[in-house]
Amino acid sequence: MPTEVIMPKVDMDMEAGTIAAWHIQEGDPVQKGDALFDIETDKAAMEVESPASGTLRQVRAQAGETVKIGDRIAWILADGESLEVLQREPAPRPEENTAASGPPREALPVSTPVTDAAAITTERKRATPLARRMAKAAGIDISAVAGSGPRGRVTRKDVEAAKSVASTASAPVRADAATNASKDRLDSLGIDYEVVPVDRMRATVAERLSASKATVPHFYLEADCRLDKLLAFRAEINKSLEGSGSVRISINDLLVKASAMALMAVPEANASWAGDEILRYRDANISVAVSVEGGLMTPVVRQAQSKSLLAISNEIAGLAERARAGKLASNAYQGGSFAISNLGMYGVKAFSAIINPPESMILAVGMATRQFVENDDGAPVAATVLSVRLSCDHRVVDGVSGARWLGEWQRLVENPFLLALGTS
Amino acid sequence: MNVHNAAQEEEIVEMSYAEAIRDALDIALTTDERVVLMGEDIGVYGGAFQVTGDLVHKHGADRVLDTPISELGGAGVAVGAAATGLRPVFEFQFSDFAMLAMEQICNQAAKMRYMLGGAVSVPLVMRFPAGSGTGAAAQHSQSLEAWLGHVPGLKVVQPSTPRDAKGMLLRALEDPDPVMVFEHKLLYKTKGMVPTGHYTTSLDKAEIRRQGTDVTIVASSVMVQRSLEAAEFLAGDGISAEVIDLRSVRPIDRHTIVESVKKTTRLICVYEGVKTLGVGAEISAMVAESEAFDFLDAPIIRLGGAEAPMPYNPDLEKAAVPQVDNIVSSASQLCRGQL
Repeated sequence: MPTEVIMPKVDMDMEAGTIAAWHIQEGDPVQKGDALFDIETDKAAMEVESPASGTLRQVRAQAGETVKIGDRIAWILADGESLEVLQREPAPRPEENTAASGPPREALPVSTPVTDAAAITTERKRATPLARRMAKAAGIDISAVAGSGPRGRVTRKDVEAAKSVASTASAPVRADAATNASKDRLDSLGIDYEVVPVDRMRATVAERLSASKATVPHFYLEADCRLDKLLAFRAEINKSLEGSGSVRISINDLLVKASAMALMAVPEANASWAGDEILRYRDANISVAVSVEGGLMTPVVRQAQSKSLLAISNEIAGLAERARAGKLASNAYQGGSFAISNLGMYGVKAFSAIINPPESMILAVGMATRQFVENDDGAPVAATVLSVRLSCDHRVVDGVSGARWLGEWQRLVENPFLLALGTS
Repeated sequence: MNVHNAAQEEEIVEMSYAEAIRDALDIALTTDERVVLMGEDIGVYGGAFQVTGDLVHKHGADRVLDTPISELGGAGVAVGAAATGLRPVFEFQFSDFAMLAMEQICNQAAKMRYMLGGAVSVPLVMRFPAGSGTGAAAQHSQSLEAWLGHVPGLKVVQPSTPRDAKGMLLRALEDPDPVMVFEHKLLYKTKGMVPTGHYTTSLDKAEIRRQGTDVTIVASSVMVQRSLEAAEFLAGDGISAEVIDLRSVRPIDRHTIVESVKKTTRLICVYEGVKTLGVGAEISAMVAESEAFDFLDAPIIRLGGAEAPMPYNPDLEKAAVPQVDNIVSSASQLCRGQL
């Protein structure tokens, strides 16, 4: 029996996938498990393996085409199988009709994508049927809408709120009326410009962060940390690593470790808002912002509290590389409870970051500067000072718990040997 | 045989629900010689709830027949009479006793037209004093409309006002097939304005009793009045409830309910029968299957009778079926996004 190749669901909010490229051409042989094609979702591209061995036939979606989840895109015929079986089949339904009838799409078996199954079984966003329909019509990603109902359920009111935000704040997300209007305006003013199309990553960033800024009550806590000991600590570590072939530990690696330990010390800050309850994490799963071509990705270092500095360093380097190559599986950038974003290397002194829900805190790390500070004897000494600003979701984190977290983080950073000690 | 003209509808007067039914029976006995009333103690005694009253004196004991204390026997006679040309109206003393007559209702009356290839029909009307609230305990207080509503071949209605009680009964007498009329015992003494002449009310249309925009409350029988009272409270609280009087359990007026839910985006079903597998369960499923699904902005809520025999203790009896408070609090939580 010929084997169907269908568009798999590799991301929890995914409704359709775009074929980025075929690795096997029509008529060519393929082995089960071989990379068959790449799909591109909102956030990443990933390889899909062939579900069977045989010959690829009847490819009906070329690179660049978008196909609904569960729709067949090709057949794989084993040796001796012919296309005759396939001729008797009814013609495929046009894409617009897929909602009308037939078995539920999710029930169809999917070929195995190169990704962790955990990403596929991630719980579906709670939303009323009306909210889903309205979000779809408005082109809003429902997973980015904060739900006000029981258990975080998204209702009409939430979608309406997100819509009004989207129509004002993130007008560029949708290319139609709003953009045309502003183009007309620029034209009428005789202003020269270039049109940059919005790709899906940019649209997702725009929608998610607009919704976050509009619906998550942010507050900010700021602190200056003495960095001298940490710099010396890092220098010693890296000196000891010389010649070992290992990567060098970065400042950021140390800050990630400090964040993880601080989260374990202040568990009330390591949590997410879930509508009528708060989900408190047992591990420190830390999102690290990585700038990539056309946007940014936030891969997650899971259980960072129990990983060594070297392990964290290696993991971040690997995640960043995969993110830049667009090969990050969706579960690799989901599930974070806290994020860290560092713009110090760009000379930014300090900044306020937008929380990426369902995370409830993000730490914005600025530039370390040389300053004179007072020593214990009241005399000025030169010191390296790092400015950070913590953004907190007030639904989860109160001023005091945010301050306790930041205080603990500062203590760890200023006494870096504690980072090597790890969490008790 | 559809809607009789309103020529005789000269006057509209206040009557009780029981009086409106008696008026309908009186008109039917007067205008159609095929009509006979049957039931236990409906003659000289005037009926367990005094619905037939003095009709035996006006129309005679051969038109208003006291039947022996055998519901199965009485129902059998009524089915046979209907199949052979009469228009019997059979009264159960309590709807609970219909269980004794299930064979005649469900196996004979409901199926005869079908099994005899349409050669025979059973133009039978049965009246069922139903429901709780009278301290009549577990065997005399049930709401069994969902039982009979499950049987193809029957029409099942629950008029909630005197006007509908009369109009639907007169319409039932024109129907070629068996019509089961559930009359809530608490409604018998309620009053309303009723036309004095002959008129009919359709057996398959729900009625919107109050317009609203925030939540649709589909209620049946005595729950209609409670839902209207609840809607009044809710209005004071800024919630606009639309109250639909279901009126007919079989068939259910899908269109009216679906259109209302599409407008309000929320649905509460209020019914006195046991909640599980009850009328509201059917309405919920029907709406979930309909195009209104995509308009739902909250879970569908059922308020139904307790999963227990009806208690005799008056406080427990009250607690076992939805009351105005329950409707208000459910609707209020639903509209505030708390359910």
